Amino acid sequence: MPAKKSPAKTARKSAAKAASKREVPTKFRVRIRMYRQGLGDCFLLTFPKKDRTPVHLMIDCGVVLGTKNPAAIMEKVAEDLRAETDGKIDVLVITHEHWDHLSGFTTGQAQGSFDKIDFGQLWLAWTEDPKDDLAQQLRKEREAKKKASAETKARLKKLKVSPKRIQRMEALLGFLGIAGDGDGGAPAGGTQAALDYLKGKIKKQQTFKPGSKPLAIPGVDGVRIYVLGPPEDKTKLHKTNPGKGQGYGLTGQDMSLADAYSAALGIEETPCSAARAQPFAPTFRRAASDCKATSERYLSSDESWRNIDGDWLAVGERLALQLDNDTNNTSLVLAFELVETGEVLLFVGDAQAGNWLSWDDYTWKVTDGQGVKQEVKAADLLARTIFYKVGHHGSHNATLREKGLERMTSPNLVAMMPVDEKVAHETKGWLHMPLPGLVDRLEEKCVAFARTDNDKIAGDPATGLGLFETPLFFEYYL
Amino acid sequence: MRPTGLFECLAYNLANRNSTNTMPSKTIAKKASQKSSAAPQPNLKHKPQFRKLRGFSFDPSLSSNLDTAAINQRVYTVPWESLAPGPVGDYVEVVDVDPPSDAWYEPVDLDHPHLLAQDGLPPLSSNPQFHQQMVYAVVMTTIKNFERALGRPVMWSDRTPEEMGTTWGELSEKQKLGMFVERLRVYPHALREANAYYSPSKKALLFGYFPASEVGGAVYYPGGIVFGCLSHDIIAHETTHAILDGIYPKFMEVTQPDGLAFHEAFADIVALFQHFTFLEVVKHQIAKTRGDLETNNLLGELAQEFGRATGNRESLRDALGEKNEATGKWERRAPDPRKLADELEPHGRGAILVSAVFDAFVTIYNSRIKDLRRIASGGTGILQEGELHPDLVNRLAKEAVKTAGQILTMCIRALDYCPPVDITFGDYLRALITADRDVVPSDDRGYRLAFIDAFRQHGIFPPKLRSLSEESLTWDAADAIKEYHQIHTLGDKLKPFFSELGWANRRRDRWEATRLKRAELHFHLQAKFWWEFDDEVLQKQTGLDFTIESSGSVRFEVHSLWRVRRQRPDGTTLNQVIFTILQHCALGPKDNDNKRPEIWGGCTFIFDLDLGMVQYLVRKPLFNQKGPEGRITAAIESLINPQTASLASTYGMDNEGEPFAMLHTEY
Repeated sequence: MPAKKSPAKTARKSAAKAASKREVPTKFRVRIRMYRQGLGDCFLLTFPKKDRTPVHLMIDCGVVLGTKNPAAIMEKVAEDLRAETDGKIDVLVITHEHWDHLSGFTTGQAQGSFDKIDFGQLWLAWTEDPKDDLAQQLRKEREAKKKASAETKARLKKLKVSPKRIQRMEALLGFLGIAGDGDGGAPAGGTQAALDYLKGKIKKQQTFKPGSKPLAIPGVDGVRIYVLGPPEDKTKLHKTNPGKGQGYGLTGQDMSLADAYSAALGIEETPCSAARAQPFAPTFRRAASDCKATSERYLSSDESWRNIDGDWLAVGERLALQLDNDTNNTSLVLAFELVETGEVLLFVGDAQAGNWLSWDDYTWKVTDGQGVKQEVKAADLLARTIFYKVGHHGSHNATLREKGLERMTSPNLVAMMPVDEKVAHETKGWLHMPLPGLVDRLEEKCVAFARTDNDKIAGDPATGLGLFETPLFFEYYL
Repeated sequence: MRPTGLFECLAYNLANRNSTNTMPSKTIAKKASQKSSAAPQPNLKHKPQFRKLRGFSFDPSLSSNLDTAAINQRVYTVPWESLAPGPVGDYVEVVDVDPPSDAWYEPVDLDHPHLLAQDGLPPLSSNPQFHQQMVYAVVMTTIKNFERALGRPVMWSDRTPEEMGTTWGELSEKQKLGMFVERLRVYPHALREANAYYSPSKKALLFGYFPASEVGGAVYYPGGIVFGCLSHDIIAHETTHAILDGIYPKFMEVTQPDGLAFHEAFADIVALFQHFTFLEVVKHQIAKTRGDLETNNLLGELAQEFGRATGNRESLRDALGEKNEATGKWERRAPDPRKLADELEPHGRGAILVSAVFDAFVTIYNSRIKDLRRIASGGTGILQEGELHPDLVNRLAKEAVKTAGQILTMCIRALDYCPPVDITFGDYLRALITADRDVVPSDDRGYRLAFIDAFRQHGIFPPKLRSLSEESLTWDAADAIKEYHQIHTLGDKLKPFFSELGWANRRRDRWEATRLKRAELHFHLQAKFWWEFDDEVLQKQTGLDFTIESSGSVRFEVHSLWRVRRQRPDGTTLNQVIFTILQHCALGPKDNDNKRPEIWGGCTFIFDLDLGMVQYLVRKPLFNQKGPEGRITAAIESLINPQTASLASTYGMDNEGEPFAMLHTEY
């Protein structure tokens, strides 16, 4: 690795020089554009039709809460998208309902610009299907957890717990766009409003289940899209960390616990009866004044350091964390196969361990480039992957090692990671994003590796590979 | 002023290591005179030694099973002390406030004649006052076991100046006295979750409750409330965290994966072997398993109800074995010496240590019952089919209980021989062997060999030894110290100093006396010895780095000072003074939280009062550790590359205030 570094450096220099000229190819099989708005995803994939007119497929558009001047940045992205596509994007894919994947579509950011873009279709994961029972159930759980998380934050503030605890909570709720006060003003409605806007705007909508028959892009020949995730399995959706057993905190039987917890918060509409909300019969309950021996000891000012009024609220903090991870796990994962060569472009959204581990459950039956019938497994797709969109901004649990990255054995692998280390570390306090070990491995493994917070592309001469860099985006021509 | 009942009773009881739980006759004194302020002189004439309290042997779930209901109730025998409603005694105060339910529950008055007359309240999970009684009974049982093994009273960890919102330099004399924490606080109903933890900053145990999984199970009532504070194993586990933190507050300062795992493993070991000392339970399980403790039995599991009620486990911990998916039968897990290298998660890694200790236990038990098996089988050693004779069950159970009690004592006693920071499993093995050699010089029954063998099979070896023999595992300092006469000289000077260490009965008095003595020792070492012996050999021997200094003098801290008296089985006593010295230095620049990462090092001095010399030096060095294999180098590496990056740590959620809370929810 160190031996490789110095030639790579010169290569990067020349890459940067060439990129500034932007002598881009006019003929390509696909072009991938990654926007550099900050910590958040926005991709544009362009495929040529037979007559060379382009078909545009866009994936997500958002930037994390707490980014400075988000409206201006996202306006710029949206305007560039409009100019590039002449205001017509054939397919919009929304991987999952998180602020850093959706914020661009809110009124506070670039909705005005998107009003002027015509989207042909909206593609979503099955978890957004209003007719799906499991999706409905998940949504209900999600709502309950959202409420409990928001109420937890309010209580923590009231109890004046450490500012760090509150900052953490606000950062988590920020993903849902419900951070509210004191965090740069997430507009009312949050991610839900953004999604509702898109659902209202784009008439033709489709939801996808994993393992279903590979899709085609309307008008484009020779590209097959495999849907790998999200899994239709609650356990897998809840599995966020590789390796570890299921925790016994909240991950086991979440609803009954969340019920008891939200009953304690006094949130309505929990299925938990009033009796269940209390551990003992009402005859045992006492007010502080009727329980002097205990309450005087507990409330004495000398002993206030042993106060536990806020300890139980840690459940709410973990609920918020879990909610956040579960949502990541509902990411729509798409593998684009270029049929002729068998090469695969992998977009995983923010999928975490449980999502990755579920891909092996499926087998697809297709006809290959030579017209031979074949069975395809996820392992084959990974082995043929030549482009990987790094999941969840390079966090530790969104790129599986053995069953993920190490299965991507193509010598031509290129990876792109949308991340902003400075924002992650300083504004958000996420100290392992991106995970250093993962970054090292990507630099070692890929012929080229680009991250949005770094102008330089790591790897062999980038221009020769068809990689270009501008302040607004990276492009990869294939 | 109250008498410090517990320790007096223990001192009385210390004499016999090999006795099992022999209970004194049932004498409950009238207590009215003690309580009334009109009679300041306690009536010592009829002062009881023990208090009897009813409780669950395991947890409420086993009471709903016909097979186990009979053994699930037991009477805990805890040392006598006067109790205020709470209960509030000398060591603990139970405070039953329930913030999530916005309720207070009336404190139980265990000194009330009605409760004294019937061994406390009957075990009922619907009555919060019984919960208070149960928590108290198990916490005190655990304390009793520690005091018996350590030969000194249990102390809780001091509040640190940081916890008090100040710094060492700015502490007033009054604040210094305020660092002493007399009672551990116990909150039986603090959390609404499947969790329980010890809070080092609050010096408190917090127990949670939660509705059982709706998924259903044969053992519990789906949707019913499960209480952590009714599980013997959970209470014993959390209490052990608190006691261990009182002995070594810096055990949480770790630079390698064994550190956190040790806290967990040790707490499990105490919980496991403590319920192995419940004779009636052991009898029942011996009868059921026909004397084979390696087959599935209740005793090898921890916190069954908690585990099952969360929906997907047989018990909270299955350190010893698991169900074979193919046969559906429980199997004892075979030791895998390679597992230690891969398992970095604290509970999983801790389970390896628990399993090793359990293996040693089974080996010793099996060797102790060999003769009984032969007697019962006409000399063949092969027992006939069917149920065992009740007399045989009785004898086997007594052997098991006796062995478990000894293992528990060995494991606890080893703590005094550990390095004061950053312990590894290998260090622990060496501490265990050394401590046992000191107290039981002749190891006729091969206990130590059983431990060495079990640890070896689990891949736990201390590095850089010539062999895995008992001799090389013993802390080696003794010979080296003799060669280095300076430490001998040090010993001569320390002896008169330690001779002045008196015994104080009240724990607060003992703490205050020790605090002054520690300051004095610090002064002596600083002013006298280290200037005289400022050489490399002393730094090498103690691992202390004399170049770590502030304003011209060596920076170190006399962290603890214990006078220990241990009874040997042959009737002689071992009189020791153990003190630890700690140092720390910065590892790198300040991180994002404006905290400077630090590494701690130190040395445990074990001083034999009768011989008047330093017997062992157990070091975790900072001296000369910047080389390729040094601790400092390794710590810096692990800082840069967080191998064990967990979910919570990605979001910066780790360790804020409650290190054990996170460990216990497995995030």
